[in-house]
Amino acid sequence: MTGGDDFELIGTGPVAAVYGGLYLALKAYPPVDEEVLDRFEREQAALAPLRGEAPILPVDEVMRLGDNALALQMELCSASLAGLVEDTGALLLPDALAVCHAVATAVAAAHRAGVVHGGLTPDNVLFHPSGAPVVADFGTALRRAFPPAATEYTAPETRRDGTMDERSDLYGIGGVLHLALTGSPPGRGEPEGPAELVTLSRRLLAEDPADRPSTVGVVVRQLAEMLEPQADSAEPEPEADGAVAPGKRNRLRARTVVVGIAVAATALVTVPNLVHDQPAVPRSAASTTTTTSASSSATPPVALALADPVDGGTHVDLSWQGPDGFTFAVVVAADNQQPQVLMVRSRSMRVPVDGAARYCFLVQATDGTRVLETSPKSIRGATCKT
Amino acid sequence: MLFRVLGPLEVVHVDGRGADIPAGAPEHVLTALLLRPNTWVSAESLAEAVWPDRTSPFPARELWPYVHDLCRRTPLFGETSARIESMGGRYRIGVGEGELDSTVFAQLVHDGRVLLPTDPETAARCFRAAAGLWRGTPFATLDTYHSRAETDRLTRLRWTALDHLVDALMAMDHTAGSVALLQALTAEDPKREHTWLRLVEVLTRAGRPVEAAAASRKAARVARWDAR
Repeated sequence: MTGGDDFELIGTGPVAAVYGGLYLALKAYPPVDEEVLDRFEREQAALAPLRGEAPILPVDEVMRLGDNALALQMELCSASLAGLVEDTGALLLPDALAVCHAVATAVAAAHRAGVVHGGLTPDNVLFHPSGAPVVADFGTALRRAFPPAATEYTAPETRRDGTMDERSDLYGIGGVLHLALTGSPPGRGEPEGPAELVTLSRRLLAEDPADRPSTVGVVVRQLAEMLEPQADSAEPEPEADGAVAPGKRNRLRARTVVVGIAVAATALVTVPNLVHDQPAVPRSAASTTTTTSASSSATPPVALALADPVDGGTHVDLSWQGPDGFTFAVVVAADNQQPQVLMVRSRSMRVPVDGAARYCFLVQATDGTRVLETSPKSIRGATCKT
Repeated sequence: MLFRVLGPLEVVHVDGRGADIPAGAPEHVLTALLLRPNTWVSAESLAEAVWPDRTSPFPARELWPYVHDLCRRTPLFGETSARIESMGGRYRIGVGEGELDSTVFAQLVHDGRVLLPTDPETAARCFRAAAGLWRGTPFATLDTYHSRAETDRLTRLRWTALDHLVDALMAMDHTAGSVALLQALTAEDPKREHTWLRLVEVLTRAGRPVEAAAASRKAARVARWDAR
């Protein structure tokens, strides 16, 4: 296990128990037979190349416990769409469109890789600590081994005979869209908004799978067109399998909901120091600071250094050097906004940013006992408080 | 049979003349309608199947000329009505009994399975007739989730029919015919383990142990391949 994470039980589903640590979540399943495990691992292998390209929450590690029980380790995303709607009700139209566009994009990528989600609900639409929506729990291997109880988001054919296919995933997207727009699951309330959105929602939730949109690529495209009404919808798009071209996806702006969620998620993890309004942070003249808590003086010095951020307009690429065995936290602060904290295990990260705002970044690292922190680096002439 | 979708689309008139269905959008519209015979299909669904790369802002308006033209080119329904009906932005192709090969095919397989335990000879004729309707991958010109699911369903049904044809032949003690059929099927899909295992069984029963052992080695190789 990484970085001195202490895990505690944060949720129990009908099958798996979920444990949350500081940065990681652990989902424990009862024993499964070899065949299920094989199928599960094949699904994970098919999903692996999508890492970093589609908003899918990857399983970082598959751990086999004694007697063939299974534990899946992934990054901790504490906020879900279900929780968000429960707290604050239906989303604003642009937020609902942005979240559902991300969900459909994730499903489209998985379908191209030959993986069906099989149980899409607002509970597995999560928000990454950065605030970006990600879809968790792809795959039917474990779902077939432990068939979940039907919910309002379960497609009629899944309810009837256990069918889990690409078309039942469309129904799941419809349910998520319905909740985001109305605050209620399908069957209660009717979505309001542009005619094409009402039509799309109705088609996604069609009783007969054949009446649903022809592919999830079509859904991605239609949601993108609604998000970007100035785009010329009459012009055919050349990309294969109806996927949205990367350039187009990048043009989708970060929405207010995304920032709001990030703040909520940040409150759930313990953050040692934030970049703004923390004049008391001890800092040496060098660009690397070591704050040692209760560690022996024999500990060798370790270096952490943040390279100059590369401003890509709607995203910023950060990279840093740091010791092995540490978990990193990137602190992102825009002017006049509460800083966000993004947990990472790699030594680089692409952070989505508002094209107009000024930002400061710094990286923290911890191995459980020591906490290191770089001095902040700015873009667009921001003045960083230290 | 007026409409044939078990392979490239073919349409014939009642007098046997081939109907001229232009390739491209007209062919796709007709194929997408035949995917769901006697069912109302929305203009949006139809337009997505025909033009998968773009969103049609007015699907009904865009589809109308094609539907109109197809009604002229296709045989009348019930000898008096237009083949394709439209109502409130939805379309329906009327197909009578025995007019569409995919439904005849499914019926033949069903009849064969019912007859198999009591009358293997008639059952074998049903399975052979069903397999004979197959000319290639159905609905290959479409690429929607539903068309792919139908293609898969019909493909599985064909393998079922062929497996049952072996059952019927064995029930009639036509060992040589079974072996020949199974060998042809292993050639068609060498990676299908079930066919190899069946061949082992039939060869063993026919008292041809050397060939059975060879087939058994092939089956094991295929199983290993599958497990990768």
